[in-house]
Amino acid sequence: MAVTKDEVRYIASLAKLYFSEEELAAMTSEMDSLVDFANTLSALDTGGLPPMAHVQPLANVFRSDGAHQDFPTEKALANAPESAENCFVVPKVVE
Amino acid sequence: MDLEKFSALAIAENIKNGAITAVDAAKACLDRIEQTDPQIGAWLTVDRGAVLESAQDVQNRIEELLSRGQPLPALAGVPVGIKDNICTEGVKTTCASRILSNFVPPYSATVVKKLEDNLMVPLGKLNMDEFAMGSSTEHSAFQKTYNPWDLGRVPGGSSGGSAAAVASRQAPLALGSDTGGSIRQPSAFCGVTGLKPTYGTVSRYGLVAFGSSLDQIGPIAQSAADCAALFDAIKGHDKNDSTSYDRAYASVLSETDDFRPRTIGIPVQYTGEGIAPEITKAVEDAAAQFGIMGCKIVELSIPELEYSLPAYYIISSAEASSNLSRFDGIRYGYRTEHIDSLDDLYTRTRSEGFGPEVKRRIMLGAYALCAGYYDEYYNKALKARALLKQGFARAFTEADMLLSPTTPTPAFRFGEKADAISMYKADICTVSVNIAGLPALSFPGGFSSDGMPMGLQLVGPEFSEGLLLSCAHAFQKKTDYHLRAPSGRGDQSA
Repeated sequence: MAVTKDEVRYIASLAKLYFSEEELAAMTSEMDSLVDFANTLSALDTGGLPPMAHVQPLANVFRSDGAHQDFPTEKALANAPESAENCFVVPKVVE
Repeated sequence: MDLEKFSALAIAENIKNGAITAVDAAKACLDRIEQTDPQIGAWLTVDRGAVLESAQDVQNRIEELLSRGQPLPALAGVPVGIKDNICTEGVKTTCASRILSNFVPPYSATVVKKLEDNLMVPLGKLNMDEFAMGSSTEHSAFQKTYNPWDLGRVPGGSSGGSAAAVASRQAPLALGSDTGGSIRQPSAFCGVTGLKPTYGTVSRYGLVAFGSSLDQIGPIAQSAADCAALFDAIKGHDKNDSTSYDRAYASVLSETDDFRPRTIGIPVQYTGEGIAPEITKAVEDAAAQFGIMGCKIVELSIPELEYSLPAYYIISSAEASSNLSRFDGIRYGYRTEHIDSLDDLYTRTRSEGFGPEVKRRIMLGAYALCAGYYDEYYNKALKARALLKQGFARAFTEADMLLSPTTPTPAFRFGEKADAISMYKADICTVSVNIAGLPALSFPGGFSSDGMPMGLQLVGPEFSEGLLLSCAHAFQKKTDYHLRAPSGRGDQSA
């Protein structure tokens, strides 16, 4: 098996996902077959080609630095699970 | 008036000449949804009162324009369904995910504003695979959608609700989104016509992002002509989407009647092994039909296509893992009730809010992007993309467009593709198009021996939507596959 349980645990911590021990075992075996599937790419000779992140010839798109009306605060906060005093409320971060 | 037999353009014509009103059209759809959706399960949100109110408003504006002798938009008064990953101001937009089950967008997507500007009537929100990740709509967190041709089979995905609604004549038109085939594959499974436009022709502003370099919104309809009309309504540059092309667009609808014999290439990679013989036969029959219509048929090879599936799943999952990091339980969406720390808030919210397929993709994407594997997977996939783009460019020196199956088999049964990779392989004919940013159209090409629709795909160079639609339109004048309606046979529990 190419993918280990420890690796999956580490990736899960990066992705902010929690898996129980049982789920972790299942995810490890799934990830293993997915990575195996992805490995078929290694047979492709890509030579010295540069990676193409995007199909378009992307360039910076500038706009004029003008004032415009965006959402009012109450609208931006309307979907927040918790808000107070025009702010999103999060658990205490610093002691 | 039996509206279900009418195309979108015929409904618009009848509204324009006063035979019916936009309210009649909306009512007919709402009635049909009420009557048939307990069997189909296409819709997540329909607000009858609000729809009728907006239809009345549209009707008033139509009458006002007519009384001043002004022209109407081509689809004025026509009802349209919207996939539930497209933001609608004040109307719940869930992406069929628990994590967005309570999300009411504070703004509408550009495409939704364009529907309104074109005096169309949004009917409601359509079911899908969670965050558009899937090929069967089985990954919706809320409900199954059943294939109107056989209730024991999936409608395809991820725009399964959109395709099933059009196929069962609940709506003449629907919007879907296509990241790796999510418009074309369900269109093929449900016997309707669906267009994945050139990347950058339709604004993605307000489309909940899955794979940003791949996603494109497009129309699903009963015919190529209806698709052309809806594509005309939604395309165009948008300053809110920096990847939308700033260029002049001609009317594609007016091009659809302008069929000229072309050279059609058939990639050998999409014939033979792995493709159901009946589907290969449908491609051959369509090629013969195009031949009768004066087209030249050539066989060609794009060897790079063989690598498109792994490249697609790496690129799309990497982009998804990055895009879906925004779901953190703070600004919108679901938040866990058990919080000890900020990290705990993130992790529990996401673990409780996302379904298994979404987690799988986030994990694969995070794996492909993480230090140590980045070059081996993500960068390698991006190089494969460059090669694939070259492969298509080469093919388009030999042919004006490519003809292939949309899917290797007709619609499969619920639970049939239980492991992830066998589900991913259902996308073999569609993903390459998104990697290269090209336009592609799926249209009905016949029926299997057990009565299921089979879809054919036309792929063209960038901005060739008019060409693809004109060919499919000419094909639809010679065939009646797109006119057949499902009987709703089969058993949901089958």
